Amino acid sequence: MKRTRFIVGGLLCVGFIATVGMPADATTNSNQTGAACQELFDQTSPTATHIEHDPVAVYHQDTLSHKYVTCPMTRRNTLTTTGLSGGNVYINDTSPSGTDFKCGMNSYDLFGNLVSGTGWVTSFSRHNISLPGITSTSSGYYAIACDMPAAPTSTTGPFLWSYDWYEN
Amino acid sequence: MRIGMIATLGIMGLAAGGLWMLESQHAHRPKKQHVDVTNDGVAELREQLGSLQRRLALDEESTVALSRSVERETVLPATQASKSESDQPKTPSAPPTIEQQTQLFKAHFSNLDVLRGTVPDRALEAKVRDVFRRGGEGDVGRLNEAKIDVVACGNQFCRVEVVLPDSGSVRLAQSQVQIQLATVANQMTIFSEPGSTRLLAYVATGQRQLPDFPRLDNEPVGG
Repeated sequence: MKRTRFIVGGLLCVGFIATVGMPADATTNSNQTGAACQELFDQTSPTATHIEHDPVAVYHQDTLSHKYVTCPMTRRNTLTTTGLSGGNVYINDTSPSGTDFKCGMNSYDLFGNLVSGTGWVTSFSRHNISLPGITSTSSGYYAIACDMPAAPTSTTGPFLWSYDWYEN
Repeated sequence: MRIGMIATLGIMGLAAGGLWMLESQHAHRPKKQHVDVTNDGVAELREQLGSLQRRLALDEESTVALSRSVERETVLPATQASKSESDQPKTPSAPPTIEQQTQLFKAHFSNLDVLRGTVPDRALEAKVRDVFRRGGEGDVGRLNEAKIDVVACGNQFCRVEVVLPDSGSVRLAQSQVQIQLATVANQMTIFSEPGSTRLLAYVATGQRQLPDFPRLDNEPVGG
């Protein structure tokens, strides 16, 4: 009997604590390694150095030209239309100005139409690009696009560590 | 609201459980009684034993009943809450068809045409055309095969239409158009009708924002 009472009381306590402790914010945070980013167009030329990857980043060591990359984002809630509230791209912008690394965030419908895309956003600290929110359509998907500047030297190119986003 | 209800029920349940424990501990405390060990005493003892067994059975019954009652109180409101308006389990709606999606884009662009208004912004139009000219000469070379058919700006919104030589190159051209327009856009949207060779784009410049994208009637708004 006593054990039953303790179990009942315990269940009430656990239920109470679990309910009160639930986060009220429904925003979902996700992130991804920069190694997931791919070159956006095939800009192959005999002299061009390609985008390079390792487990922690995507690198651009070409001193001749800039490169576009696209970075996939796994959408968790595929039915809603509220989109993303924003995101960040964590980079190392080695361009002389420190503001040549640019990124934008885009949402597409199932058939590849661009529902909503941001303009290019530049870094403000050489290490972070903060992206504004975008709307979405049911069942579509998201992607980040970046313009990686040319490397000052072949060993000091810009790179992209990782990126994150907040799904409404 | 739900948190408040569950919290109140939890506190009430804990208080009731505590009081009930105290009461039953007091009821079950053995009392010092004088027992007469005679024949009459045996009968009396039997009577007391029967009484105790009846009380015990009632006690068990009431414990089970109380447990069930508490269970109902804790489970039912939660179940009801989960079926409340905000937490209704969302029936997965079927993905929109390409025809539905095209209609949504057409409605979106009609709204944007209204926002653009009828007073042309020639300076902005020249700026957008210049972006394509510079881009076409650069690394987005596939746009050299494209024709920038329409650039119509007003109220810091621009409608841009690009015609491609074939429908197969529309999607690839879309990314290139997007990259070019991103240099002047605050926000943008681009679509093409199935099988068409024409890309339709809208950009919002300056502080302008695109209006919300239209929704199908059965689409949930938020998660």
